[in-house]
Parts: sequence; C-alpha cells; structure tokens
Amino acid sequence: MLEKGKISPRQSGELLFITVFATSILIVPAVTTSIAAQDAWLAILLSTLPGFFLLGVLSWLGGKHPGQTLFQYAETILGKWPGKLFGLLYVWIMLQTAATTTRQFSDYLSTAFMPLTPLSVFTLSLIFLSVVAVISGLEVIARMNEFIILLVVAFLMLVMVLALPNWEPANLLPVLAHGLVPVLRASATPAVFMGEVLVAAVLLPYTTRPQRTFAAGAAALLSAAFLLAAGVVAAIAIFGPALVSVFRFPLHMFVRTINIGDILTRFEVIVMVTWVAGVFIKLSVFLYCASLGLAQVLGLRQYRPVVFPLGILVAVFCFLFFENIVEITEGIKSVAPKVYAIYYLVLPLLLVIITVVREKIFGHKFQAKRQ
Amino acid sequence: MTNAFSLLRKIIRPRSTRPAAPQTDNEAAAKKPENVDSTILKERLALIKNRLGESNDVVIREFSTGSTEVKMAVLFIDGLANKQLINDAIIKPLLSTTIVNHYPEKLTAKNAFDLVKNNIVFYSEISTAPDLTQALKMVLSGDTDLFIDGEQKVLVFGTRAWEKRTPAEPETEAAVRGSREGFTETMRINTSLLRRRIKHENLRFETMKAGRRTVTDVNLVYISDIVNQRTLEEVRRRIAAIDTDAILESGYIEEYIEDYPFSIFPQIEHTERVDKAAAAVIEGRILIMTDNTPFMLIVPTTFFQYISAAEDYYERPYIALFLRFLRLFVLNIALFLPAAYVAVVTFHQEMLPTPLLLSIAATREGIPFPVVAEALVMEGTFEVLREAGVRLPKTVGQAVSIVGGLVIGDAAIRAGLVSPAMVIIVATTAISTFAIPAYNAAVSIRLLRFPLIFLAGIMGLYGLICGLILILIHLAGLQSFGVPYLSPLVHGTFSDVVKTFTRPPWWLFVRRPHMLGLQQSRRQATNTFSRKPEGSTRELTHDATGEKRQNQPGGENDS
Amino acid sequence: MIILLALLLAALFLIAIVETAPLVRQKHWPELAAFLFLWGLSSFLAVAQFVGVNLPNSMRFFEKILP
Repeated sequence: MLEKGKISPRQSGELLFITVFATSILIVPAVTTSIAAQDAWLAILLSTLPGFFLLGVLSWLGGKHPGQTLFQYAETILGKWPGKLFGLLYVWIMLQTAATTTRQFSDYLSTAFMPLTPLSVFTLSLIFLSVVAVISGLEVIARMNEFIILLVVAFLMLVMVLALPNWEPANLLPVLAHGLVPVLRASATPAVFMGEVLVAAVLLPYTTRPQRTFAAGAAALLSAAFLLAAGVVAAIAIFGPALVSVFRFPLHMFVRTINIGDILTRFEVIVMVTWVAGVFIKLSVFLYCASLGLAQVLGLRQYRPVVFPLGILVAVFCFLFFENIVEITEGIKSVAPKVYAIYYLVLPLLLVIITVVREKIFGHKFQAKRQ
Repeated sequence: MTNAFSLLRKIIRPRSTRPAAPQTDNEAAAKKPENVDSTILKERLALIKNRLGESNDVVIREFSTGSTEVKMAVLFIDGLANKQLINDAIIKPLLSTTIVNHYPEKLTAKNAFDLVKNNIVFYSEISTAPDLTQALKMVLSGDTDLFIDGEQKVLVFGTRAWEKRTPAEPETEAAVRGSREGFTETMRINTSLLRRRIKHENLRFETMKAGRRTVTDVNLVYISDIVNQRTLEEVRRRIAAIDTDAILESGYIEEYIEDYPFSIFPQIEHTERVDKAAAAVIEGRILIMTDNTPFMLIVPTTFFQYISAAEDYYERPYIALFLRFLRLFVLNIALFLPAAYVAVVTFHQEMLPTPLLLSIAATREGIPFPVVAEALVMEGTFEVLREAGVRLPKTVGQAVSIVGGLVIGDAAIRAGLVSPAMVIIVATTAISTFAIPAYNAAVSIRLLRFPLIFLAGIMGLYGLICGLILILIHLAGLQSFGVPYLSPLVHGTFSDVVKTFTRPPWWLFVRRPHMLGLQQSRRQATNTFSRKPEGSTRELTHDATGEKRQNQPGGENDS
Repeated sequence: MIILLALLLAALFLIAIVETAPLVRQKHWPELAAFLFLWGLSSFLAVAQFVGVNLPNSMRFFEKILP
C-alpha cells in the first residue's frame, strides 16, 4: 500500500472544491464573458454537467474496484501494458495541469503585484512548497486544506459583500439575448476546470467511506460552480460584460474597486495571499496524484522518491509550454477544451465500455477484492 | 606509515571486534566477588559500608535485644527518614525489656523476624525486602531497614519524611479566581492534592521508574474507566523505553516521549496548577507526574490547548469567549506583525491609506537601514533585553528595562537609527507575546518570527504566506499520542470545535472531547439546566398572600 | 548567469543526495532506479531550459493533431 493515510469524505470533498475553484476564479470570468457576455454565469452552471458525468463514471469504476486508484484498475480492465500506458497518459495530463496552474498563478502574481520579481521565483517557491506537502502525505494536505478552505471562501464572500454598493444590476440584463449557442460555446472553458474532479479517482480509495465520495464530490462541484458564477455575476454587475472580457484578471480589478470609508481599500493583496494558499493546495493535489500514479504504474513501494523529480518536471513545463500569458488564455479557449475532453470524457468512457463489454459479452467477472 | 595504518584500522574496525557495550551499573556491581550478600549481620554491615561508602548521612545503629541477645541493626538515611519516629516506634520497643519480655514466646534468632514484625514494633507501614539490594534501594528513598542476624529477609519501615515545601500559589500560572494551590516537588503531597479533588475510586496512580542513577518516580495519573486504553498503553511503553542516567525534571521526560523530537512546537502541555491537572484527568487525558518537580505533563496535547487558561472555566462564559479570541488574535500578532509591517512598507505601500503612508515615510526619513534590517535588529535587541531582565534580581531587572527600553530606545530614535513606527511594532509584538498563556508555546512563536521577517523582507507578503504555508505543513503533520495536533479544527466534531474556541456554560458541557477516543464520553445528563424550582422563585421570599416573608427570630440575618 | 546555473546544479544535486540516501539505506533498488531516471531526465530538461535550448513543446503537438 503506497498511501497509509485515510481521509474523510468531507476532506476529500474539500480537496475537490479547492482543486476546481482555486485557479478557475482567476481565468474563467474573462474567457466566458468574452464569448457569452452577460450570460457567462449560465455557461458556468452548464459546465458542471461534464463534471458530474466524470464524477459518476469514476464513482462507478471505483465501486467496481474498491481500494484501487484509476491507475490500478486501468491495468485490471485493459490488461497490464495497455493499462500502464493509459496510466502514464494520466500522469502526463496531471503534470501538465499542475504546470498550467503554476504558470497561470505565477503570471498573475508577477503582473499584478510584483512586476520586478522574476517569474521563476514564484513558480519555484510554489512548487517547492507543494513538493514538501506531497512528501508529508495525503493526510497532511487534507488537514491543511481544512484550514485554507475557510480562508479562501471567507475572503471571497467578504469581498463580494463589500463590493455590493458598486453593483449595477442592469449590466446583467438581458438574459440570453443571443440565444443558447454562445452560452454553450462559452461553457467549454469552465468545463476544463470542472473536469479536474478527475483527482477523485485517486482520492476515492483513500477515503474512509468511498460510497459517500460521489455525494461529497458533487457538493464540492456545485458549490465551486455557484461561487464561481457568483464571482462572475459580481464582476459583470460592476464593470459590465464589455469591460470584464477585456480585463486579464477581472476578479482582481473587482477587488480593487472596493473602498469603504477610505480605510478598507486596496486589499487585493490580502485576497492574493489567500489565493496563494488555495493554489498551493491545488498544485499539491495534482502533484500528489501524479506521483502516486507514477509510482503505481511503475510498481514502486513508495511514491516519495518520484515527488521531487516530478516537481522539477512541472517547473520545466511551466516555462516550456507557454511563452507568455496571452498564450495561456488563448490555449485555454481553443486547444485545452479538446485535449481535456479526451482525458475527462473519452478515456473514462472507454474504460466503462470495455468493462461492460468484458462483463456482458465475454462474461468476465471483475472481482470486488481489496488490495 | 604504520601509524596511518593503525589509525585506519581503528576507523574501519569490523563491528564484531568492538568492545561490548558497557554494562549497567547494577550488573557490574553484582559481579564483584566481595559483593555477595550474607545473612551474618557483621558481614552484611561491612558490605553495606562498602556499597554506600563513607557518606555522612548514612546512619547505622547496631544493638542486641532479648534474653538471647539477638543482634540487630537499623539503617536509614539522615534527613530522608523521620528520626523521631524511628526512635519511638522501632528502637524503643525493641530495647525495652518490658515489651520484649511481655510475650510468652522468647525472642530468639529463629523467631525474631516474625515476632518483631507482628508484635513488637509500633508501626503501620511495614514491608519485607527479599534481599539486600532491594532493601538498599528502599533506604535510599527514605525508608528504614531493620536487619536481623541470621535472617536473609529485611524488614522495611516506611519512614519517608523529608523537608518539603508546602503547596504555594503557582507563580507561572497565576489566576485571579481559582484554587491557589500549586504542585510541589514532593510526589506524595502532589498525589494527595489530586486525590482530594477527585475522590472517585477509579482514580489511578500508576508508578513507574525512570533514570538509572536518579531512579526517579514517575506516576501516570488517570481515571481507569474514562481514559483511552491504547493511549495509556502507548504512554507506558514510551516511558518504559527511557534509558538514561538521570531524570531531573519533567522536561527530560517530555523530550523522551514526544512524537516529533525535532519540531519547534511543544507537543506536551505542562502545568503547575492542581485544578488544571485535575480537569485534564477528568477530561480523559493522562497526567504524568515526575518526582522532584512541580511541573506535571498532560498528554495528549493539541495546539489550541495553549490558548486556554484555567480561569476561563471559572469566570462567566462571555469573558472566556472574548479572551480566547483575543489570545488567538494576539498569537497571530506576535507571529506576523513585524513581518507584515516589513512586507507592506517594503513591497506593498499601496495597501496603506495615503495619510498613514505619508506619516510612516516621514518617520523613516534619514534612517540608514532597510526595513528588514531594522526589524531584525530591533527584534534581536528586544530578545536581549528580555533575557537580561529575566535572570536578574527584580530590582536590578527594572534598571535593565529602564536603560534598555527607555534610554536606548529613545536615544536610537532621536539619533535617527530606527524609526518610531518600528519601535511601536516591536513593542506591540512583545506585549502580544506576553499575552499568550503558555510560555512554551510563546517561545516557538518568538523563534518563528525571525525567519518570517526575513522571508517578508525578500518576497513581501508572498514570502510571508510561503512561510505560513510551511509552518502549516509542519503543524498539520504533527500528532500527539495519536491525536492530530491541530484538532479539533481538523478531523474534529462540531462540538469539539465549539468547546475549543468558546467556553460554553458548564451545564452545556455534556460530552468530553471526542478527539481523545475515550471509553465514556458523557459528563452529565443533557437536561441539567433544570435548576429552577417549579413555579415562581418569588415563593422563596414571599408568602402566598404576597407579603414579604419575615425572618424568623434568631435567624442568621438577625444576629 | 553562471552563478544562477551553479545554484541550479547545486540544488539539483542536493535533491539527489537527500533523496537517494534513505533509499540506499532501505535497499529499495527499484525506487532508486526510478528516482535516478526521473531525476536525470528532469535535471537535463531543467538545465537545457535554463541555458536556452529549444525543446519540443507538447502543446504544439496537441494543436497539430486536434482539428
């Protein structure tokens, strides 16, 4: 057993929430608003559907193979070598997601707060922290997250309440002026983030009551989507859809508008600080899943030796994949949804189909044995 | 050349040829040929003198008694045993011919042991030691041995009575309200203090020994039908595993049994207050009493225990609620304030409202050092002042604070070496450190401040949050005897969280902490808030007719 | 530039030492092999990235194969 720790369903739900929420709040508002204008919030709510689908598929597969992660039951279903290849694909996408996350957030920090500090300072320190956390184990990440989730949610709520005086609800109208098509198109980008519930496939076997993980994950997904939609609604209500789609980080601008009695002002730095914590957890979760997955694919007895090298790889990918911030935003609009659709929808569905085919047509029984 | 070879051989000598591990003291002593125990009194006394040496506090009184002149000897340590009692209750009856001859049986060497034990001496606490080694051990703890010629067994009288401090008010944990009794250095007094507070039959004092040369008594105190048996077993195992020559203070034990020896945070709470210790035992924790120190250890410990004080439980719940949040706030101030100031002034000036920024900039004008250096130097100076003041006598200590705080501080500001704002920050931080109830928790906060200031100085608030995350990773990984250190905030039930951050009224304390995994969690029935009598309390002072009840003549109020 | 490169190399070797020591002590050879392979790969990439070698970008690959 690679991981001896166990987390509670609540903790796994909280991890899923932070994973989905942490960076989507930075990127999604501008992208969705640029396509769907004031209906962006609808696009975000719609985008949870693929997330729910993935969560359902993973719960079903996890229920068939109790005590096994995605990487282990892929081998059971597909056979040894195809299964390992399949696992490596997922390790790759997790590393890529971790790199994208790090790059997005570092770019945000460097453009918005410390333009003189080199980008690598942020990426390297974030990755180093995550490596330390991952080496400390899943339980530690989950416990920290119970702290950090409070901070992140509390500050976001506070910011929204404080910004209420600046709202102009008229900005949100009319609803569905251009029909459903732009909304559907706009929901592709948030769906990339909602699909990050993929990590549930790794967390599931280490949860104390795996059968409740679907409920916890669904709650996490819904609350993340609602908070995200609320953020977008607030941003649009303040700036109007045209401005929001031009801003690079609408939430950041939105926090800057807050001014209460000339004293409570300019506290976007504090909000940034809480987001660092959230992004750190997200990064740790992905790095953890990638490390554990790689260790399981390679059949190692512990996953700790691969954490540091994978951390270095993530750092390399950060600079390799993207040349500048515009490329990230463009990528997330056009390429990313297609790439992630393969990983989040097609491949899991493939597993399900092969399982069903092997069970129904060839009469193979997947025994529910615990490893 | 040969030298080099022999040196090399010494370094890479195979493991098997290394000399055997040194024997423990007792084994070595038992192997010496002259140390063989004997039943003949003369040889035995010679042996005792050989083993105890010429120490001047060892008292041996030889005498013979009875018509057959049975030889006996009394051995005790002057100052540890009650000499008066030995004279009156042991030696006097043995030497008095009326008493010895009072019994029909004649006192001979053969029946001396039983006759003395059962009939002659006037003493309540008598035990038997099988051999000399055992008897000597007990003498060194303050008991008295009676050796009888020709008898292998030794009579041991419990005469422990040495100079001891009476329970005084604990100085480290003063409280406005609450018991004024603190633990003392004497184990027996301490057990009585606890026994007086918890009169239940299931209160257990379980004795263990630790320290090869100090042979220190260590008591585990718990209530047998509440405590978590697995935790108890683990505590026993860890204390039994201590193998060292000396245990002089409970701090030694703390470091031997804590879960993470390299952690900067204290993982075992200690207390001098009897009421606090009793409350911990009743709550299902285990108290580790060490002889010769008033500080008792409480396990398992969680981080948030350090924000509570005994007094919280005696005053109104509201003030306790307020104080707990104040302490939490103060903890954060003590840890973050200087670092946050450095970060904001160096990197994020835009966070400050313009007038404040202007005034800070004005005070910093002409200061030659960067803010980080200023902060590190000032915090360092404060630590020096504090250390200088702590060890000095009170009167001189005041002089230190005047010279250090007023003269140097004022002069430094006037000379333009430090800014007044920085002095305010350092002073606030210092005061906040003092407001944390637990000294050992405050120490780790004080130490962590410096790296945080440094991080804030190079990376601003981002550096600060990185430092915080590192601390959090460490804290989240800690456990104390199986209980996560950050419980109940992580892994906790709602009621545990409520009980940690507020102090509910006593009639709502229905259950003991869930996180400890106890045998019995219920403290009281759920509906203990039914204290009001049926009907109106007006009946207590008024008659049915509505007249105010008159005091009976001769009642308390008349006198 | 040279100093930063030296720092990078020092950090990479520090990581290698810290990670391999316990593995050698526990005699976990497969884990050691996996670590050394991954560490070599990632260190090579890191140094190449640092000195400005143009490495293939997998995102371009996705862009090509997807419609």
